[in-house]
Amino acid sequence: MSLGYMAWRNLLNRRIQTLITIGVVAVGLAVTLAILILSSGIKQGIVRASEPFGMIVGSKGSANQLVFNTIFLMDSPLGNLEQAYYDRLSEDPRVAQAVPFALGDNYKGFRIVGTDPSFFELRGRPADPPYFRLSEGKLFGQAFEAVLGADVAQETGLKIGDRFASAHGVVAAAEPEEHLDHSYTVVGILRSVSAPSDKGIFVSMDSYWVSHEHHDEAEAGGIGHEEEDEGIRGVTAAMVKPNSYIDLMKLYQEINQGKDAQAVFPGQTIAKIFDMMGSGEAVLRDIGYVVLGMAGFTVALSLYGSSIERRRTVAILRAIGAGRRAVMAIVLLESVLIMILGCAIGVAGGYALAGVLAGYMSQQVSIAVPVGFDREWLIFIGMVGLVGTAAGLFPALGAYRTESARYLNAS
Amino acid sequence: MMLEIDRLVKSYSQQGGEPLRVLSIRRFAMAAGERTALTGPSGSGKSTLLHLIAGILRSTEGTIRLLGKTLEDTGEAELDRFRAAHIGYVFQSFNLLPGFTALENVLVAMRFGSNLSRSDRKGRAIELLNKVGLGNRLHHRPSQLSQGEQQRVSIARALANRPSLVLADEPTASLDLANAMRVFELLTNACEEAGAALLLCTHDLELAGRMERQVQMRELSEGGD
Repeated sequence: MSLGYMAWRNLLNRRIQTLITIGVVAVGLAVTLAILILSSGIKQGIVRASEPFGMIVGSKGSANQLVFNTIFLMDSPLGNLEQAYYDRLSEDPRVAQAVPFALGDNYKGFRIVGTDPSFFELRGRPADPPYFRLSEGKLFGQAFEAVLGADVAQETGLKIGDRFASAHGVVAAAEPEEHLDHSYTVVGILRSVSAPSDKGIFVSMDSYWVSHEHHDEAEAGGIGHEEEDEGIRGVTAAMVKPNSYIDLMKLYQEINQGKDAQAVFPGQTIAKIFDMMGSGEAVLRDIGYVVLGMAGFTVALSLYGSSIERRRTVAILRAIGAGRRAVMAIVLLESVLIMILGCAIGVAGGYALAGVLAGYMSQQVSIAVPVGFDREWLIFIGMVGLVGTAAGLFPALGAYRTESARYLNAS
Repeated sequence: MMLEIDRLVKSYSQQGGEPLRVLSIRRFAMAAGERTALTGPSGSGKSTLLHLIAGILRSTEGTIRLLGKTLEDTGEAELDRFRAAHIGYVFQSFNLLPGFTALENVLVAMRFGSNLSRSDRKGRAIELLNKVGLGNRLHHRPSQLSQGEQQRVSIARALANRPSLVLADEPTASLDLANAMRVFELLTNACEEAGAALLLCTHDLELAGRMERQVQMRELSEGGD
């Protein structure tokens, strides 16, 4: 009969106490591990979602807002860039590609993005395949043809050939102001990219402008004005791919020095957002560590609490010939077994919790949050196991020092 | 002689006072295979003497020689091994491990004091439990056994490593009369069969009268053998 088996039988003899202790270790570890997995996964997901967008140029205002509008299809859009500014930018010899991006309408809360076919040529890296690919249908070729993001098609049930009327504004209203005379026809559906673009409806710039001219005409009492049209004709942002790195930096500086627009690198803006998130993440992580610390205390308390009951067991073992080291080893093995089980359940629970939360987040903001693995977490789990086992050291020393004669005659 | 005790004293230091002497024996000896009853009132030091012979307690003065080994000169780890291999212990309160079955309680003792292989240990443990009439209770935990059955498990455990000496500390005091007699017969017969000496502490003079030798604690303190 091995010492490990004897430790196991001792734990089974106190099964409720053992289960509670294992549960506390598992919950503490699961919560902390889930926080670590999610914070790492969210960063990866956001970075991956922003990969194809290059430098974003929009009107002056909050850089965060500009990034949120274009990459995450969230937040209210900044004012439009004038069409003339966009035209100058796209014709600049240093610019290889300037993809327009215009917001203003929605269908059932899904944002309608005015753009041109070059949008579908965006790539994370030059050697990568296009980021957006069709799963069925074709790209829009004329006004009022729409290409749906994967989530839009799934959640609205729209199919190729279906028609829908857009509503004004970027969010769904209780009583939507629909552009009934200009309904869109679905011509294509994109493959899921597990990014917020899955929740976008992509239409040509012509559709966007016609729809908005119509809206502004209605607001102006049906009278259209050339000046107003020029003002309306613009884009919310432009995704700019320069010819070279030097061109990129020059454009970035020029645009930001000017009065009309701002240029942002999504990576930099997201890094700032991560910095802001960092303090929240640190608080969550600290909470996790506190929970873990409490778990460590519970293990120590549980093992110490059972040491009174254990004194007699130790005395019996000593009386039948077990050495002090053997009884100390049995008590230490009890804490090792508790920690192995607690950590195993905690790791499984942590991944399960992270998986559920990552799924929920993907559903809400369409960011694929990978539930991955980091070698640092293994070290962290190992440390938890070691600290928990060390918590068993004091009762083990207590068992080592037990004077058995005193407890043998107790009934 | 298998066991020889000479000028043995056990005392405990007291804060701010003289040491408290709990046991004083001038001389005591037992031959191999002998069955001796040690009688005396509660508090006379019977249990302390057994603990000293088992090496669970260390003497303050004097010597105990068991099977040619002077316990006072023996290190603790060696004494643990010696106890496991040569001494069986039966207690008044049975002292079975609560989380272990009857079979496991016997096997635990063999874990520390037997040279047998794993399968042979199990075979012997089952054989012993059959001998004490518990062949159908192998996988019952102490809480599922009657007091008489628990004491029979403890007898099987005491004999598991074929000890030379079995120490029994009031083994029938917690049992009713019928069970007490049955356990007593079982213990003495088992020791006889195994060729083990038996030193049985009891305050029951009738039970003591059934043993081949009776010694009173008072006599030992006064210098008898």
